[in-house]
Amino acid sequence: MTKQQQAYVRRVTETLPRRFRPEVRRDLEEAFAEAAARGEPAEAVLARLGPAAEYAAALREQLGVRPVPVWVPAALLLAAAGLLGLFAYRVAMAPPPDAIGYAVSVTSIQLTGSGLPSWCLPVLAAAAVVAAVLLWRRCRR
Amino acid sequence: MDGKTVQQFKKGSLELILLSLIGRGETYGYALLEALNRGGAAVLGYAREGTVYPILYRLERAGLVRSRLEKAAANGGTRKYYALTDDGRRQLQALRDFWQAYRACVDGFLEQQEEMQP
Repeated sequence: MTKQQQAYVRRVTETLPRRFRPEVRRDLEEAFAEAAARGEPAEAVLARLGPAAEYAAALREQLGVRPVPVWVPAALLLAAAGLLGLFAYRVAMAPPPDAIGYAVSVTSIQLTGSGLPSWCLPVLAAAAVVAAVLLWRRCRR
Repeated sequence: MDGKTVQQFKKGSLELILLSLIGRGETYGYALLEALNRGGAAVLGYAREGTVYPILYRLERAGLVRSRLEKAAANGGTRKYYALTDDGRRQLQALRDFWQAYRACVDGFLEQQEEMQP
């Protein structure tokens, strides 16, 4: 395959669910190889396949791949921002290392260390960002 | 004639045409395109991989065709061959019957319209 064809295959398959990618990749390679065997220039097959985004959209439609609603990755990014904000708040409000908690009032003492450990928050935030980026690709038409 | 009208006609018949071509015997993508263009380019327009290949995926997912890979010396790699399944043969017959009824119905309306012309 030429570099142009390789780029085309990449642009088509990157928006498809992983389970479809090997077969679509193989089939495109066959289309390019058949044309080359008949002496056709690489550009001719690419022209007949159409723009990568349109071909990928046609494949998604025929394969029954439902597009991810745009609000899903947006919500994940918001959640990531919230988790990072909560992490920053916890770091800022953390008591001295040898303290067991802090008094909110004369009669109420709260112990730290309960609930989700602080280190989980940036990890969850990073996971939400990665998921948002991966899903954002499935939103593209 | 409006391009969109023609487009809708073509879209509706392409599945039937592809099933009938595969129904002739096991075949592969490029051969399907050549057969389509030989028999229908003048009316249907030039068949392209970008139009036909996605439909082949849908037909396979629907269980109407099955595929197998074979080494192909012609292209130096492998070739995917398509054949009708039993469901595909039934679907082809059903579409063929519908097409004949549809054609008779539309022809009837067109004949009536011609007869009523002054």
